Amino acid sequence: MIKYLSQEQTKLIYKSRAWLAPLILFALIMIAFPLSIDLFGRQTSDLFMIIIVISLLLTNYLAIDDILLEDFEDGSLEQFLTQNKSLFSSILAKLIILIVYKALPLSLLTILFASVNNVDAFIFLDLFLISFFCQILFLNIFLFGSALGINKGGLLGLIVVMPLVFPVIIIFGQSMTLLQNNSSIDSFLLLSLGISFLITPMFSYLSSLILKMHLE
Amino acid sequence: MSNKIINKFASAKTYVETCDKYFLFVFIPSIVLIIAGWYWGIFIAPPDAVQGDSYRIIYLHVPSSIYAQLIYWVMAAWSAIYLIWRVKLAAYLTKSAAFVGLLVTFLALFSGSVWGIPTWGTWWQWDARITSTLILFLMYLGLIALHDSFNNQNKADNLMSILTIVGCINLPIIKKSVDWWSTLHQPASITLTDNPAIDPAMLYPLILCIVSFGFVLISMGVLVSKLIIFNREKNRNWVKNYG
Repeated sequence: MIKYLSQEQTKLIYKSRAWLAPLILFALIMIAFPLSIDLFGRQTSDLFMIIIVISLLLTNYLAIDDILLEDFEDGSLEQFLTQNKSLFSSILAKLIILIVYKALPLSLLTILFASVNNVDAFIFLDLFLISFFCQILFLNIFLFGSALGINKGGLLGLIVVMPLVFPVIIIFGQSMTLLQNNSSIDSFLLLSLGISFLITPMFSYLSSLILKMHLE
Repeated sequence: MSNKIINKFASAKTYVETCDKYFLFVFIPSIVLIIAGWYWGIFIAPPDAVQGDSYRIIYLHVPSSIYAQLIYWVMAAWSAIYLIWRVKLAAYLTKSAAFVGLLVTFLALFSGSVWGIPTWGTWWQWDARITSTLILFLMYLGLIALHDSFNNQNKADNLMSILTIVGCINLPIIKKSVDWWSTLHQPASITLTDNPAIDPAMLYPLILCIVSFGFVLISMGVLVSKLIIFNREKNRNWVKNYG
């Protein structure tokens, strides 16, 4: 597993553009949205909380769009199968690297932009955790979609998993509203933590199973 | 023993022959009963004290909403059968059920929108139940789109089955959306555990509609599945000699 993680990490170092693109898109949305509302930023603290889940959705889709396609096209995945290596471990490693190198910085950026948009500082930790768990779910679902429609373009994968994404948007959007109203969301955060731990190996396994079907 | 039973009943040929034998016995009574149910509900049942005659759309809306979710559970069961025992017929039935489910979910959404105009004053609201039903509609659409994207039908069957099972995550959310969130949509009037919150004069035609609508959908599913089977097994001798 450690070997797969270091492989994925090395790949990411050489693909700085792919790594930075989601972060730049997220920053762009966060910088641009106040300009479209009110130049004096009077409403931005309220609207920031509303826009955050959708911004994370878009950036995570961009982060994962071609993650499996490259390996599929250059034959890396096929080699995995022929050499009897564990495809599941490789997919899980990809996902963990994505979570560490993309979801984590994006959650930190969320806090940065929250402070710029006059959001109360005492909800920063909860906001960080919500955006982090929300991204873990998005990444898992998009990875699954990417595996389903791997050689049919990213749009098919997106269309087929959108119904799975909508409940995540609704539930995390609600939690943002609760946070904004100073309600306690500790139990929700614990639930999200548990779901994230369950869903990450589960979706990695499903995605590896689907990739095997594509390759056989 | 179990393999023998599976082999006997899982054959597409046996399925088509059985359907041909019994189809009219199901189809004709179901059409008669649904017409009777709608007639009873629309012309005989009393008007509602608050909603007047506009409530009568429940005789289409409630059956279609119930079956929109039920069909997905059935699809999930067939998908599991396909993935575990590799029964091709289960994959054919999953795809045919997706078409019927798509139609029924559209009917549920459409009839709900029509009902919404006199009762809520709007035909659409981003309400938990309506949005979750729209998600169900998109799920059916996504499953059909996924299956039709692949030329290799076996691969398409596998992928569709996996996605169907994963999509089950959404069903409890759809079912419980009216209880978990405060919504414009009323909670379910008929449940398996509680007494129905609806007058018997309105309830009996509704039950008749729900039961007969189910048989209409089974008949529709049989027709669609036969089309799919003939298309998929067109090179088999029994299909060439059919009819």
